Parts: sequence; C-alpha cells; structure tokens
Amino acid sequence: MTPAPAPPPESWTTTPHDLSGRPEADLTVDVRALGTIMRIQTPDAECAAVVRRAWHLALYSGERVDVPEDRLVHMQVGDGGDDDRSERRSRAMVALTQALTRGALRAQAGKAVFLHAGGLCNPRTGASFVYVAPGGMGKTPLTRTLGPAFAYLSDETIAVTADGAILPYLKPLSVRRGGHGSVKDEVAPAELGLMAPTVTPWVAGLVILRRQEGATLHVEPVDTLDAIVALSPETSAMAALDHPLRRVAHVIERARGLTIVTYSEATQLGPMVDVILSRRR
Amino acid sequence: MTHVVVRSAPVLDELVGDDGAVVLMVHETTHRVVRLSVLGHTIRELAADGISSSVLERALVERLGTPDTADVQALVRAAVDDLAAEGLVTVEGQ
Repeated sequence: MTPAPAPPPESWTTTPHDLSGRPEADLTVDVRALGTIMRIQTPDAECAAVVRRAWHLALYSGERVDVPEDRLVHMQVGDGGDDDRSERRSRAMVALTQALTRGALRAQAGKAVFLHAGGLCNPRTGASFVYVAPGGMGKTPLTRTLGPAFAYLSDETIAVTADGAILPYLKPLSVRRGGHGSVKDEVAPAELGLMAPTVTPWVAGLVILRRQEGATLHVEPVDTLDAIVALSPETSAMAALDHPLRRVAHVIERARGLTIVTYSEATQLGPMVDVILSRRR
Repeated sequence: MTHVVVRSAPVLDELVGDDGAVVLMVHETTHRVVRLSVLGHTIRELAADGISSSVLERALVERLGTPDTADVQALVRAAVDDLAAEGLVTVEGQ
C-alpha cells in the first residue's frame, strides 16, 4: 500500500524493543497489519530474507519505531527432526502468519470490525468485495483466481473502521500444497500476480461463501439482524467494540446488505465481483 | 407458572429491529450472538426488572395481541424456557 504510514501512537515511544543501530536490527522485519505495525524477529538473515519476500506488500519501511511487546512476534524454525531446514522454515512461515494475525487482532481490538474474510478492491475507486468464510471455504482460491484483475486486500482477515474504510492485511497467501492438502505454504502475493491497493478501500459488497462441490451459483439475501448472527462466528474481538452490534450492522448496511453465496468454482463469482467493484460510494 | 418470576439476564449489547432483536453475550473470551423473535424480545423487555409469569402473560397479550393458539400460558412458558436455555432470562420459583 503506497499511502504514507500513519504516525505511530505516542505509546510506542518507550519500549524495550527499539533495535535501531544494533546488529540484530537486520533480523527484524516490520510489517503493516490491520492498521498497526508488527515487528517480526527472525532467527537468521536467511529467514529474514524469506520473510521479506513473502510479506513484500506489507513491509513497513518508514521511520524506525519502537513497538510494544504485544506487537513483537518471533519466528521459530526449530531444529532437528527428519525434515530439512527448508521444510521447517515453510512450517515456521505458516506459524508466523498465524501468530502475527493473532497479535495484530489483539493489538487492534476495539478499533475495527474484524471479519474472517478475504477482500479484493477496485484499484481506481477503492470499492471492495469482502468474502467471509471459515477456513476451507475458498477464500484463498477465490483470491488467486479473481485477484490479479483487481487489488488485493487479504485472504484471511478484513478490518473495517467506523467510517467504512478497510485496513488491508497484505499477508502472503496461505496456499494448500497440491491444492487440497492440509499443509499450507505462505506464497508472496506477487508470485500470484496480486498487487496492493493504491487508494483507500471501502466496503462495497459483503458475502458469506459456502463452497459445495458441483453447486450452481446461488445467491441468498439475508436481512440485517439475521446477517449479524450469520457473521458473528467469523468475527474477532467483537465484544471489544463500542456498540458492537450496531458497528456490525453498519458494515452490512454500507455493503448494501449481506448475501450468502453457494458456489463450487471461484470463476462463477466473476460477474458478481465485477458488479460490486463497479459501485460508487 | 403462576408464582414464577421471570427476569432478563444482562447482555453485552442488544440491537432491535422491526422483527425482533439480536443480543451479544460474552463468556470469558468467546462471544455469541443470538437472534430473538418479537415475542422473545418483548419478554426480555417486560422482564427487565423481574415479572411474575401471570403478569407477563397479560402484558404480552396487551402488547402483541391475542395469539392464534388459545393456550397463552403454554406459549409463554415455551418461549421463556427457550430464553432460559440460552441464558437470556432467569426463572425463579419453579
């Protein structure tokens, strides 16, 4: 994301993690995540390079800031076992992403509505399609399939602020190895042809994905109260918000309602995404 | 249920619409959102400070009209039991 970084909160000014000028500074990687800056501490230069490649769209390269303890994540590759180092590092990258997501969610609790969702954005207008789903329902495949034509926001978590803006989470995509297995690899967005938004994204459409093998596309509108219930299991830190139910209702209303979309292949959603991303605010 | 007192349980948040409400309940680190019908929401509203079941039944008929079923008592008891099972009301004196 190209806009200048928000100035760090004053609370960041005195912490024990200012590594400026120390040798270990090269082993740390700062990334933007859900409206904050998270610091990744890697075990060696090779890992630091791997992290920088995978998180390239989220790298924070502004003025060095101190980060509090809850925004510091350690990458742990481990040693030994029968697996080679590359395999252990791949697993560590997955664990790192999960830890970073949890950390960012904790750090930002109360500041946005957090949806377990992927998002794509019209790169000119910021109109964004937000697709909510539990794991295994197709967020990442949809992002890979339709994403290269638009701008990428996340394949995991979407944060919506009180004014309807989306705080991107430009993480590497968590791609199932071989397309179906339980093992995932963290893949740099650029490797999949994805780019960052250059305008502020905003919610233009909101769906819950239900992927069913062989299903024809089915779109079911849901009224606002039922939509809040349907979204609830896929929200994080809802209770930390002021007036949480009203905040979620506002997200739904800004998106012109929630629909539940049953589908089998990501390409079926293409026309719907085109319509949503052509909306004006 | 004549001597029973129904009392609404506190929730973290509530949003009311034309056809009922949703409430947010929190237990330790997890949250749960429950959808309430107009009847369920009205029972919680009337029972905010505690209300006897007989008074509740009359107040509901006054507020929502006479239901299709003749057995108002059974209808209200079933609704109160559902709410109690969700932790949305407490029932004292059963």
